[in-house]
Amino acid sequence: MSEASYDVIVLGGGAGGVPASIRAAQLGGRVAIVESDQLGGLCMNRACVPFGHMMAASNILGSLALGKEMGLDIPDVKKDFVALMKRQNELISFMRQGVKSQLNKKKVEILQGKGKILGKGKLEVNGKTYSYKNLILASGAKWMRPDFPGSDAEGVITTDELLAREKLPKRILLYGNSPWLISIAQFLQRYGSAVTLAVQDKDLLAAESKVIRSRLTAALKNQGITVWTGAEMAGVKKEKDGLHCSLKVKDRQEALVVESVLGIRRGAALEGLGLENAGYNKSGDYIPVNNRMETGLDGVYAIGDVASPESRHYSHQSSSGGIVAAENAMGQRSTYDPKNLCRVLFTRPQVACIGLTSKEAKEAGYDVVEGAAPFSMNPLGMILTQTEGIVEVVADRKYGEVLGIHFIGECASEMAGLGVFALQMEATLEDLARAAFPHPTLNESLADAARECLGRSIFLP
Amino acid sequence: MATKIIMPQGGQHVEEGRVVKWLKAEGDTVKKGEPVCEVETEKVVLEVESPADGVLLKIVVPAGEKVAVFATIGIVGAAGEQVDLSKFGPEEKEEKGVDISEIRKRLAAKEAGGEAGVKASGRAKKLAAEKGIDLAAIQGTGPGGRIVEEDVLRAAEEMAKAPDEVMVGKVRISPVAKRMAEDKGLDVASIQGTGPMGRIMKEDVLRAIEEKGKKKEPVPGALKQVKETIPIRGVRQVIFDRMHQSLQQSAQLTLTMEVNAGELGRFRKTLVDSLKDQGIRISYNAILVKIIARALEEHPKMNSSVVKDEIWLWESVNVGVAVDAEQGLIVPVVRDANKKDLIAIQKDIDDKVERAKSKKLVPDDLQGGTFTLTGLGFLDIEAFTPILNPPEVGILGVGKIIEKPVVENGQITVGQRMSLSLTFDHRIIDGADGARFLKTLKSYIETPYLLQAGKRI
Repeated sequence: MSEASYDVIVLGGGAGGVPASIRAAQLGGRVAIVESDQLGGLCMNRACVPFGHMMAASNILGSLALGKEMGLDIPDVKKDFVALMKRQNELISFMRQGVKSQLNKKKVEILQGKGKILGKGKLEVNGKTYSYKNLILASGAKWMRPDFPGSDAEGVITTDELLAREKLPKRILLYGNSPWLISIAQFLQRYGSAVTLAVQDKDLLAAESKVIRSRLTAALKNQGITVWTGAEMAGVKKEKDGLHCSLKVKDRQEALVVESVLGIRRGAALEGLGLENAGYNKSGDYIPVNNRMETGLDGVYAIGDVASPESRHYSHQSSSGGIVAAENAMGQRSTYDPKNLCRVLFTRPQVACIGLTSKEAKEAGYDVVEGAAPFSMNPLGMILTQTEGIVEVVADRKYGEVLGIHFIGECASEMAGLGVFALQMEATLEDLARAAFPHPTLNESLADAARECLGRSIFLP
Repeated sequence: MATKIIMPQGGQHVEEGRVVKWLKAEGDTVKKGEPVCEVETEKVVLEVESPADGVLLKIVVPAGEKVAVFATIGIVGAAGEQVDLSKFGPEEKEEKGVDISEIRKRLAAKEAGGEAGVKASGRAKKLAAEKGIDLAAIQGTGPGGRIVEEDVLRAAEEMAKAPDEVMVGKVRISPVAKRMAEDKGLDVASIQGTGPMGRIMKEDVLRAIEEKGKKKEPVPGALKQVKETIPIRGVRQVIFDRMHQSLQQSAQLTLTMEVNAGELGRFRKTLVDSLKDQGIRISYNAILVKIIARALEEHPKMNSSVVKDEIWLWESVNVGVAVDAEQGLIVPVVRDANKKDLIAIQKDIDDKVERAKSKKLVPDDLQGGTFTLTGLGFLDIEAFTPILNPPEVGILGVGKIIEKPVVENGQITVGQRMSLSLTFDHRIIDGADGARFLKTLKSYIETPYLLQAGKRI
């Protein structure tokens, strides 16, 4: 039996693998993509898209208060979770179909099944052997149960189980450090659950600037979510009336009874890939790569979540890294710059941060200038009652290099694109300060924050 | 009628000049031809004369500032006349000798709005897009000038061969990288970009700075107190660049030979005495210029330049004479020295030195040399190693004439001795050729009357 041979085999059909396979095919390669579950991966099927959809619904609910101020009083809001899930599943299956037809159109072969490396240049899928010149590992991440006493009790669920429910829990504890928990907490609260969010770090989004952290925490608390930081789960016990949870929160003990505990963390999906057969013997939570996405093994690249620590699990990192890996596999010389990764949270207010915080910039040795422009001083911000929103700009004094841009507030995730672009292009404060952003938009605050760094803010008092 | 005073070009390829000082203040009466200010270009210091009779109405460029050549630096007009400064913008500089490639011409035409005219086949369009080539840059050979696949392939090949040519004046660089490079005085054209499309990013500049730093000497200020810093510019800048360029671009060898200058001294004395009533004093320099000119005629390779991969022998024999002037070294050129007699040569040198002192030298006085004579005898230097004045390939250094014992035919006598130091470009002139040239010089110096005999070949 002659085995099929490929220029590039991509292991994993998710947010990173799909663009990687298409790019390699565009460059003339014979390409196959291996997927054991559903095309689109975690992102499309069980994370970004479903939660993005749920957040979009919850954001509409969040707009009702503003609507009321504007005279749109909608007294009886019916929240039909089942209808929401039905629309969501239809949407996802439509998108999945789109991915499939894209792959077909770009002449990428889809191999359904679990791929396992047999040896150098050999891969097995469903008992059949395929040979490759280049392998791109894109097996992604998986949701994992957190490790605490009683985590195997009935009622301790993962996000997959949450998505499969027909009815939302009345009382729920969300426990862990994943930023996803913040989004999910807000959705559940808006849909009527009583939510306690307990994070292990000393603050929500502990790595972000103080302004972002405090504004986000205040907003969530205002919305009725109980937020515990510096929390550690002592144990969960199933009783008649529900799950009894005891936690140590900073210096005090807390106890509460809930219907469900959602505890998540994510880890790279490394098991069963047969990495050892390719000569890969490193241990660790993920596969480290260089800026060309090379693993150190000849012709083997790794991208996305399988090649990143949990704090950098973002689909936009997977897709840009995927394109770079594919280009390198096809003989080009491409690099990916991880410093411009946008850390985004689709809560309301949204959070989107790019580049360094001022603390990080100072530690890196920059002579730092900072500027901020609250949306409450921005015309559209005032229209939308954006009291929570602000944009911060961190820059180097000498050359005006923009080192970091942090948004919290309405449209933050959209404006973040400008920030990504500015950092990628190595923009200076002068470039931002002179950009004629359209009026009235929240973007105008970005220009003003840059001007404030230069000591010439127009709209700040 | 107001008339503008412009920054003179002061030499070929000069792009900017600095106003050194204003000799007149605003409101002062000036006469046409009267000096109003002093300017310095990278080649010379010049006095700028008033273009008209009247009053200096306005000093547009104050002393110390640099402007582009042909820019308005001041305005002369009638007393009390109102001047609209906006009418005195810089004049367009005439572009000379820039070779515009076909590709750039077509790209320029596209920028001027001619894009609609580009016709290309579907396959050619697709290929051009893949290769990132602007269709406007491609010459079509299909029917009606239509661009076909083959044209794109040819253009891709051309561009790969000469990427610099196509990219002239268009360096891709990020804003931060640009600022950083400017701050550190790096030439962006010399930096290798690693960003998209070869864009120069901050990291590339940092690497270039690091590389530059490696070559650098230790920080000059360390362990030493700085008394004063003197900017290197103007005439000093030219000498600075030329001398460095000289050593970088040629292989210099210096031969020395001691000659008997007794006869030369007597020859000169006779001339000086005989011409006293004419008001002319023939210098050693003038006689040596004449001797060099004659020797160059006899050794044409010494009167040449290297142009790309060829040696160009010059028909003209133009001898530069290094003079220690107030503003530094200047080298006035005696043109066609081989065709001039000693009086003409002397007058030429005197005139130029005089004008250098009064800052009235024009760039042409200093350009076009084919060989240089330099001497430090007046400062008691006996011998030294001159450095070529590029693109010349020879320079003669002459030492002080010294009275010293000489053994001649077994007898010790008192000799008038002078050392000759000939530096030449060893890439094109062999050591023996250099020695033969020195021997010729020696024969004329020791028997200057030979100058009367005509060329010996």
